[in-house]
Amino acid sequence: MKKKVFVLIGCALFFFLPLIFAQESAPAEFFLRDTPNNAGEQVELTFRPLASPEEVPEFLLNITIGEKPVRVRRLVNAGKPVILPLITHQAGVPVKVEVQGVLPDGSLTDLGAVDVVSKGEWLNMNSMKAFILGLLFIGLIIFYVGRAKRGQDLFIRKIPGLEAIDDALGRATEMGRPVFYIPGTSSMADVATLASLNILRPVARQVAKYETPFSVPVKDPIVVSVAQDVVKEAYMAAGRPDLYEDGIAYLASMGQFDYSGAVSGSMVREKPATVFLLGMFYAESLILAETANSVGAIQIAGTDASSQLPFFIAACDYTLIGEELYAASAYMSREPLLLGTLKAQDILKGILLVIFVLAVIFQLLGVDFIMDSFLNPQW
Amino acid sequence: MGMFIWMTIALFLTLAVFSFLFRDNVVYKFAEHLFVGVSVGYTIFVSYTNLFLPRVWNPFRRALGDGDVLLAIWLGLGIIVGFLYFSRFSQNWSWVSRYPISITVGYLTGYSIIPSLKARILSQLHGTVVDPAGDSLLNAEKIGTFFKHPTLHNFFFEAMAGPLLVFGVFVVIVYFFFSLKNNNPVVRFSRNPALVYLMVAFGASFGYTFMGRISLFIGRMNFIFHEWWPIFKNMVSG
Amino acid sequence: MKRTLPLFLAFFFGIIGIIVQMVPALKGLMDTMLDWMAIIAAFALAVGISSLTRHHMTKIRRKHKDIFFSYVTFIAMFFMTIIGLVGYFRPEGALQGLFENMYNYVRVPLDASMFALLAFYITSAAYRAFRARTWLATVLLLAGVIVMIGRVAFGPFIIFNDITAWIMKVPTTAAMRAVNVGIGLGIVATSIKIVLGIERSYLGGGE
Repeated sequence: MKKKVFVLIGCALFFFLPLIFAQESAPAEFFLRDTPNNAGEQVELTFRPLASPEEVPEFLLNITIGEKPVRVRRLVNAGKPVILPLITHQAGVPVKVEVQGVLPDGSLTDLGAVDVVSKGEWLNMNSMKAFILGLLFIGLIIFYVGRAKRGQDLFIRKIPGLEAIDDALGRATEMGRPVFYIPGTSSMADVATLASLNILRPVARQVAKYETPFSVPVKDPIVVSVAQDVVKEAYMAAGRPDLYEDGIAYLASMGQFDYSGAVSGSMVREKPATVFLLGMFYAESLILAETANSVGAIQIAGTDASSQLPFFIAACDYTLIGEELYAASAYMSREPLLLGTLKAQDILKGILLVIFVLAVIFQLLGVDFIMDSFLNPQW
Repeated sequence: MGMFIWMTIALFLTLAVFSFLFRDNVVYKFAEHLFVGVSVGYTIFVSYTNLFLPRVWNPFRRALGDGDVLLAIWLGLGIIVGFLYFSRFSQNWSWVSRYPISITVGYLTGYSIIPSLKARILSQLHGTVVDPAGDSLLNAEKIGTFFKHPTLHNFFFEAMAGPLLVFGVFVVIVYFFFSLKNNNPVVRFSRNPALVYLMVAFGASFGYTFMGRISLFIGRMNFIFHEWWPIFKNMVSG
Repeated sequence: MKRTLPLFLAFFFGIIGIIVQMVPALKGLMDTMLDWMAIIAAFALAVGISSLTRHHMTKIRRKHKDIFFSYVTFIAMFFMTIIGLVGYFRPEGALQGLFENMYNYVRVPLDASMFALLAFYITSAAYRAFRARTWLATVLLLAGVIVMIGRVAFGPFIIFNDITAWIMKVPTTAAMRAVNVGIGLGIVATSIKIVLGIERSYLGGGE
């Protein structure tokens, strides 16, 4: 008798167990983790609904971040997993998420809670490959600068826009009309502005030598100080400190279109023979380029703003495209140190190109290794 | 009435700016100089209320008040560094302003290195090997699709899109090598295709923006004919 | 002092710029540096304004024929600053309203109209590109015209829509990507040159 009861219970269990487990299997799977590679300002909740939207149409997330009061967030069950970032602002903040399921009849069922403490990482692994590439670049630069210093001849091909500079300046001198130099309309935060100020130096030196009137209207207050220093030193280097005045480089205005309006006005009144538009530009690029054209000036433009390049190409006599702007200071000064860097840049580009071609070929054969380990910025 | 006067000022300034297209004139000169003055005045106001007060002065005072010595020292140091900028007002000491300049330049350039390497170089090349979905751009299956359904659409959008993209990136990168001589075979081979890619890209971007720019002018005309004119008509008739 | 210290500062703060990118835990340092940049920008503004003032003062002193307009700039600048600041500290007065009207009915229409000039300039630039007779200019023009039509095409011209989509997706993306790679290398090279002190133009000169 006893045995039969056990068998019966055993059979019942055998039949009902899956049912019990089926009921026990949670309607959702979720976990909370500290977001990697940051300063601990965020953690993230990964939430995967397992029940169908008919069974559990909604979930309630009761989120507690640090000392702050509980925030309730409704999550509609779309049957897809979601990752929710939760902002903690700093490291060391405990975060707790209690999850409830909302059943079709409106009643709630507790699904448990998860917690984590936000923490800051000491190394951003997502930047590691870029960092290593940067170190390689520095190594190449040091190597080639060393070679250049030892007097090795480094060949640089002709860049038409830069070859034209001398002629353009000479033309201004012959015509007795001024030269305008616009170092972009951005701030120091754009490296293109610095690249432009590097070109300003040889241009200013030449202008001083030819005794041509010179004007550098600037839009940013820090850029104007640097431009003044660059022009001043260039005039001294050319042996013409007598021609220099602080007003050569001046702040024309500070907004995008008031600046372009003011500079266009000056162009129409002073009729420059040559206008340089080098640096970072936005929509005003075409206003400046077309006004320069309307007064018959030769325009030498260059920018790394790919959205403005088309306008310069269409409207200007010469355009330095992207990296040619950055190469210009080395090209014009012919200083071995700068030429060495340019060479290093080419070598790195060659290395990247070879990796790129190999990655493409191997990818075609179904091997991700080269692409993943060299080109994917994520670690 | 007040509104009408302001809108008429706006109308006058709009026409003043457009008059520059005809030739430089007194009205444009007035608008231009007014624009500079108003704009710079506005920038001073915004810099004082949105930059100096909330980012410099208030945190400094708060840090002093809360006894947060470290932050106060940091900010105070920053203020001293910023103050060095005023050396530009002196002939003999203007070189001192190089300190804040070199701090700004140094920090901003150092800061730009890693994001540029990541976003402008690695991501761009990675995106040329595989598309965002993770499929190889030189996808044999897509080429196969074309042979199964040989339409023009499939040829250009499926079969050739990836290979032409990869080829374009390659030749244009080669075009910008500075230290290869012009008679180098790789340079000679890629020069013309690279120029075609570049010119198509620039032409297309130009054309893409064209209508947007035209609509700016239409916007100004809308202001005149749909905002200012009805008010004017009401004033005259009423 | 005049050259070595600035070079050292550029190096030191350049390294800090790299470190804050690599070490997320140093976010506090990054925030402080951003504060410094804001502080320096605030002081630089004063220097910038003085440059603008001097530019117009010189015109006034030299009795330039546009002397009247330099006064216009000065008056507008002072007026705008003063009504802005007074209105900010005394929001109950009428000046805040005046400031807003100056912004909405003077600055905004000037800004929008200057921007709208681009409608004419883009047309004249396109016309000039049209006259250039090199084969490259023709390619540029052809792509431009196709995309222009493609953006507004309907009816029988709908094929231009597809061609435009293809041009934007394939050759344009390819060229812009490659240009971007070059620009990235240029930015990094220039940055490294400045941090290492190889490029010193921004300090005035090389010597």
